[in-house]
Amino acid sequence: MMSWIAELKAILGDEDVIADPERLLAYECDGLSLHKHLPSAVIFPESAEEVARAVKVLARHRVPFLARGAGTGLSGGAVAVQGGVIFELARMNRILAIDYENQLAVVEPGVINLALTRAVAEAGYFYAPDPSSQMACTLGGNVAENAGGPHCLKYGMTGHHVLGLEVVLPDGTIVMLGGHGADAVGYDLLGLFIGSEGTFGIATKITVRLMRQPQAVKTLLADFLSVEDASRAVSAIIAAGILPSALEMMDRATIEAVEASVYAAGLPTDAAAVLIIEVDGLEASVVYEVERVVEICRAHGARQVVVARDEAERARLWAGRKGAFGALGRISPDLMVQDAVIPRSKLPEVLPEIYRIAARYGLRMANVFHAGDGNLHPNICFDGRDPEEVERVKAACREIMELCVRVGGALTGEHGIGLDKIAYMPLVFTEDDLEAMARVRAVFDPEGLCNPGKVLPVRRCRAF
Amino acid sequence: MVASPEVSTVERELISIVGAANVLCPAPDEYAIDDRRPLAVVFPGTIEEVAAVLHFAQARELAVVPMGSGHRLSFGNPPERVDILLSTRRLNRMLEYEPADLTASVEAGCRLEAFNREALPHRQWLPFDPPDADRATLGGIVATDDFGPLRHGYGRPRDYVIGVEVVRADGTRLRAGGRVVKNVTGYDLNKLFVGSFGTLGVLVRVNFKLRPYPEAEATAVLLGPEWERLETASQHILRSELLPAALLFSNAEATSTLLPDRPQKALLVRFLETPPAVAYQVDRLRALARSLSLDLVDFTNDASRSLWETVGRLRRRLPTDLLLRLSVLPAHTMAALRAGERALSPCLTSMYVLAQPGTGIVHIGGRLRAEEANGLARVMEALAHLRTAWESRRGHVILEQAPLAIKRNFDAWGDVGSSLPLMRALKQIFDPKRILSPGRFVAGL
Amino acid sequence: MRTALGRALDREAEKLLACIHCGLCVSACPTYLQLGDENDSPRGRLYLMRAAAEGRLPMTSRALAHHIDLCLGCRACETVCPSGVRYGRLLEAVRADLSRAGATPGLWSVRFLLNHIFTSPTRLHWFFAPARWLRRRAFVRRWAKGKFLPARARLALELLLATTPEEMSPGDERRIIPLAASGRRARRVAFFAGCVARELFAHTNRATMDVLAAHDCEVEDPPDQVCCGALHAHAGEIETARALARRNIRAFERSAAEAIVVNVAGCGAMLKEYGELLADDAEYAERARAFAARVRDVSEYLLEIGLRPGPRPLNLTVTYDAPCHLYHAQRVRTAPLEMIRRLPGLTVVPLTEAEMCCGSAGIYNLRHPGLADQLLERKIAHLRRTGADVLLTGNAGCLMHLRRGVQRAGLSMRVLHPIELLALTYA
Repeated sequence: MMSWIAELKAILGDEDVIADPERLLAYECDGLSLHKHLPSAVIFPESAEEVARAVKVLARHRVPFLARGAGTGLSGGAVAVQGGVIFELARMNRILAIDYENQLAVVEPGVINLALTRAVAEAGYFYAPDPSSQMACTLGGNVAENAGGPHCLKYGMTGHHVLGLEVVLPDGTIVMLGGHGADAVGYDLLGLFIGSEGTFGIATKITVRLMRQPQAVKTLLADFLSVEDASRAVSAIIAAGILPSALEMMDRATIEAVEASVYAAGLPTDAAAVLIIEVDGLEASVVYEVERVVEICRAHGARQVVVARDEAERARLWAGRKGAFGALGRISPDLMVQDAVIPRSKLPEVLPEIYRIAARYGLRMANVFHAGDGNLHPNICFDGRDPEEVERVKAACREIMELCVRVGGALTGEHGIGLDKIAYMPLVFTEDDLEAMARVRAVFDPEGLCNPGKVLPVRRCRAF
Repeated sequence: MVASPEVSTVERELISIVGAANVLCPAPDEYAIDDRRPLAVVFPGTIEEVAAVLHFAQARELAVVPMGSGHRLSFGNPPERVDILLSTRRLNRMLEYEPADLTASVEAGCRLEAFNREALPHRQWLPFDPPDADRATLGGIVATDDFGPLRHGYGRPRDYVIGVEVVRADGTRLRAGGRVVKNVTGYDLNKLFVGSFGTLGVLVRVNFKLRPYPEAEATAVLLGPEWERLETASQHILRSELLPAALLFSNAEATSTLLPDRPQKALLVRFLETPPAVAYQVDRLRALARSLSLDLVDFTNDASRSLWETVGRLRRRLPTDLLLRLSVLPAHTMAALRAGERALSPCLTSMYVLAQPGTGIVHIGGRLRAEEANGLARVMEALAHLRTAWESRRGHVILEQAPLAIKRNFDAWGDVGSSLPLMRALKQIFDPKRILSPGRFVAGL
Repeated sequence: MRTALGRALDREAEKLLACIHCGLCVSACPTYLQLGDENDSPRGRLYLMRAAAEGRLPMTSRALAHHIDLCLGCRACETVCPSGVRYGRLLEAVRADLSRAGATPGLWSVRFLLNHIFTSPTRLHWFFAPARWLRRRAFVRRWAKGKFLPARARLALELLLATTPEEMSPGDERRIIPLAASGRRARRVAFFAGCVARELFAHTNRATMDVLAAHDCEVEDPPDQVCCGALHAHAGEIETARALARRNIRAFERSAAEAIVVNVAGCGAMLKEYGELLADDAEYAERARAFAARVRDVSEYLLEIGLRPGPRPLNLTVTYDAPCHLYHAQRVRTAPLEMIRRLPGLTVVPLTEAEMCCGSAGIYNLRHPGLADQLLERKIAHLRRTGADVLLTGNAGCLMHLRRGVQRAGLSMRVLHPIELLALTYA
C-alpha cells in the first residue's frame, strides 16, 4: 500500500507536499507562538477538488489534518497539536466573482481580507469585518474564527456577512451551506459552521456580502486622564442611543508603543487612555451624531476631542490602532494577547480590576480593545525565557478570565478558543453543554480527524 | 376525535407537573394544527416544568409541539403527530434588561410588543416586524426566524440572538451563547435553534442584543400604474447613499388596504434615522418621484408606524387561504414577483403581493378561487412550476400557509440541497425519538 | 567565533525577539504572495534564522539556505512591521554566515565578479565595454529573441538592451540641460555615480548632474568613489562590502559638499546604512555615520532645497513604481511622487501595488528568473491598466527589468528615471 505522503504527492505533485522537517519548522505555530507543534506535512492544494481528494486520502489513513490561512490567528487554532497535515490555503486566493447587483462576492479561502475590500473599493463597496490583521489574514481563516474587528460594533462579525460556503467535510464530500445570496431552507448550518475553528471541515469557497460605502465617515480621537473616565464615556455613548461604527480604547502603555512604531499616529503620549470613535452613515446623521459624541466625551472628562480632518489622518489613526498589537512587541520579548468580553456597562468596574491583577503578579500590561462591544484585549508583556514569569502570566490570565465570566462575560469575543483557552471552557459551560457541542462536532467529523485537540476540553460522548 | 385509552394517564401526569389549571385536556378545537388535535395543551410556568413535561413525553414517546402565540403553527408541513401542545404563554417574564449594555434576556413566551414597550423609554428596541407582530412571542419569532419588511435594514432575528436556553427532548437543559454582544466561545449552537421550528428543542430563554431606537421616522410611498418605474426607483435607491430601513413593493390589492383611496402598485420606503437624515432622505425621494413621474405620499412618525403595523396585519385584513414565500437572489426580486403573479392569479382572488427588492423576499397571498377548492389541480401545477423554475436559480418556494389538501401534496420547504444528511444527523442527536414537532420541518424532519 | 547572525542578534537581540509572530508582514511579502509558503514569508524566514541562531537548525541546513536565497531583500516587511524588526540587517547577517559556511547556492562566477570586478572601477569599465558595444548592434536583438543562446544569456542580453533609451557613454561631457543662465552656485553637492549606473546609465547620471546644476548646485564627482557594496552585502559578501564602504568614505571625506546625492535607490539604501555596516569598526564607525548622514536620494534632496522644474509642459500621462530600496529601505515615500506631481503638464495616475517589488532586486532576476518573471508579469498586468505613456522609477535595476517587461509585453510605454523627465522640462 502506498504511504499517505506518496498518495498526496500523486494528487498534488512533489513540489506541493512538504515533509522535510526543516521546512516544517515554520509551521509549528501560528500568530500565538506560545504553542508549538510540528506537523507531519504541509500541502498546498489549489482547488476544492484537490482539497477533497487529499482529505479522502487522510481519512482513509486516519491521519489528522487542519486548514491554515495566513497563520495570524491568536488562539493556536492553526497548530497541528496532534501532528498530521496542514492544508496551506494561501494559494487558493482568487476572487471568483463580484456581483454588485446582489451585493456579493465569491472568493476562495486564501483571499486576504483587505484585498477584497480593495478590489471593490473603486465601485463604492467594502467588506465590513475588519480584524486588526486584515492586511494579512485570509477570509477562510476569518470564517473559521468568526473574526470580528473594530467595525463589528455596528456591522457585525464575519457570521453576519457570509452568505454561503462550499465545504469539504472531513470525509472528503463537498457540501454547500447557506443560500449564497438567497435564503437557504433548513437548519442554519452556515451559522453553525462559521466560528467552528476549522473542526467541522474546510471551506473552499465563500460567498460574502458587500456593503455600500457610507456617504460620510468621521473619526474622532478623545483623550482622557483616567481609564475609568474613558470607560464611562463609552457606556454613555451606547446609552445615548448612538451606534458608532467603531468605538476603541487604547491605554497609555499601548499609546507609547504605537507612537514608537512605524504606525505612529500622533496620539497624546501623556493621556491615560484614548478613545477612537468612528461614526458613519448619511452626512446629515454623522454631523448630528459627532456633535453629540463630542459633548458626551467632554461631559465625561475628555481633555481634548479632535476630529480627523481628512482621509489620511483617519487612515493614520486606524493604522496606529491596528498595528498596536505588533507595536507592543517592542515593550518586551513576548506578548500574551488576551481576548475576553464583558457586558459593556461593567467596563468601569472591570478594567481597574484587571490592572490590579496584573500589578499583583508584577506584570506589565497594556490594554487596547473594542470598548464599544465590551471586547477586552489585555496584553501582557513578558519574557518567555523566564519560566517563573511565564507561570505568573498564566495565573494572571486565569484570574482575568474568571473575573470576566463572573460579571457575565465570555472567554473570547473574536480570537476563538483554539488550543489556548480549552482549559477555561468549563468556566462558562456545563458538562451537558460541552457534551452537546461534542456531539454536534461528531456530526461533521465522526472520526475526529479535522483539527483535533481544539475548542473542546476532551473528546466526550455519552449516550443520551 | 376519539380519546385514546391513555388520555387519562397523560392528563394525570401533566396535571401533576403543572397543575390542573394549566392543562387543557382534551384540547379545544382551536388548538388543532392543520387537522390534528393534540391530546392536551399544557402551559408550564417554569423551565423546570418544561423539562418535566419533555422528560415525561420522551419516556412515553409522545409528540410535543412547542407553541408561542400559535399564529404560525401551520407554517411548515403538517405534523406527523401532535400529542402535547406546549405553550410558552406563562413563560413570559423579562429576566434581565440592562439598557447600558444594550442587551436583554427574556423567557420565550415574552411578547415582542410587551418587550419593546419596556425598551422604548430607553430609546432601544428589538427591530422585528414579523407578520402579526402584535401577537408574536419572542420565542416564536426566534424559532421561526420570522421577519417582516425591517429585515432590509436590520437583518433577521438570527442576527440578534446572543444566547439561548433550550430544553432538549430528554428534558435536559442546554445553554448556548451568553449575554454579551460578541462571543465566539465554543460552537455557536444558538444558530441551530434559531429557525428550527421547534424540531430540536424547546426554546425557554433567549438573550438578545438590542438596537438604539431611532429618533425620527418617515415613510414615503411611491405610487404608479405599473411595476417598471417603481422598479427603477427601487434600483436607484439601492445604489444610492440612502439607508432605508424597509423597502417594499406592494400590489394594488395590498396598497388598497394601506391607502384605501390609492389602489395602485406602490413602493414603500421607510426611514428610521436621526431627524436631519430622515428629512434629507424624504427630500431625495421626492426628487426621485418627480423625475420618474411617480406620485408620492409621505407619512411621518406615528402615521408611518401605523402604516407599517397595517402591513404586518395584512394576512388578517385580507382573506388568506394561501400564503407563499419566494426567496430569491435580490436582483431577481421583480422577476420572481411577476412570475408569482402570473402563476397564481388564475388560482387566487384578491391576490396580494409584497416584495423586498433588497433581500429577495416575495410574499404572495390570497383566497383560492371557488373552482380551485375542488381538485386544486391548477394551483398545484402553478406551485410546482414556480418551485422548479426558482430552485434552479438558487431560490426557494416556501408555503407559509395553505390548505391541508395542498400541504399534503406539496412539501412546504422544497429542496434542501447537499447538506440534508448533516441536518438529519443533527436531528438524530437532539431528538432521537422524533418527539419534537415531527414532520414539520424540511424533508419531514 | 560568533557568527555574523549571532553578532547581529546580540546587537539586535531585542529586535529579533521583537518579532511577536503577528504575521502582518506575510501579505506584504512578494515571494509569499507568489508561493504561499510560510517559509517564503518574512515571518517564516525570521523563524528559520532564529532556529539557526538557537541551534535548532544547522547553518548548513538546505531549507535555511534555500528560503533565505529566495528572499528578494525588498524589505517591504519592514514597512509594515509594527514591532520594528530590522529584517534587512538580519538578512545580510544570515547571508554572510551562509556564505562563510559555504551554504549559499549560487554561481562562483557571480562571486568572482563581485569580489574582483565590481571592486575596481577600471576593471568594471573594461568589463562593461563589450556590453556597451553590443547594445548598439542590431544583431543583439535577434540573438536575444533567437533560440541558440542559453536562456540565461538571452535574459542578460534582454536586460542589457533595456539599458539604453538615450545613447550616451560614460565620460561623455555633453550636457542635457544648457548651463543655467544665472550660473549661481549656491550649494555644493557630491554626486554618487554608482558602478553599473556609471557604465550603463550615463544618460541618467548626466541628467541628474545637470538638474542639480539647474538648482544652483556645484556638482562634484569625487574621483576615487567605488561601487557602494550593496550587491555584495545582499549576496553575503559582507567583508567586501565593508572594504568598499571604507573606500567610499575616504573618497567623500575629501569633499566639503553638504550632501551626497544618489540617483539609484539600491545604492542610496546601502550608503545610508554604512553606519550600521561599519558599526564594529573602531576606526570607521563614527566616520561611517557622518557619511551616511549626508546621503540623499536625488528626489529627496531636490525637494529639500526647493524643486524648480523647467517651464516646458510635457503633456504626458505617467505612473510611478516605487523602488523597494527607496520606499521600504530608505523610507523615501512621498518625495519622488511629490517631485513628479510638480512637473508641468503631467497627468499622474496611480499604479496598483506600486510599493511591491517588480522582481528585479539587484541580480535576483538573473539568479531566480522564474520567480522574478512572475512578479514582473504581476507588475505588467497592473501597468497595462494604467494606460500611462511613461512609467517612472528611480533605480537602475528596476529600470532594466521593467523596460524588458514592457518591451516583451508589447506596451508602448517608456520607462524612465523621474530625473530624466525632470530634465526634459528645461529643454
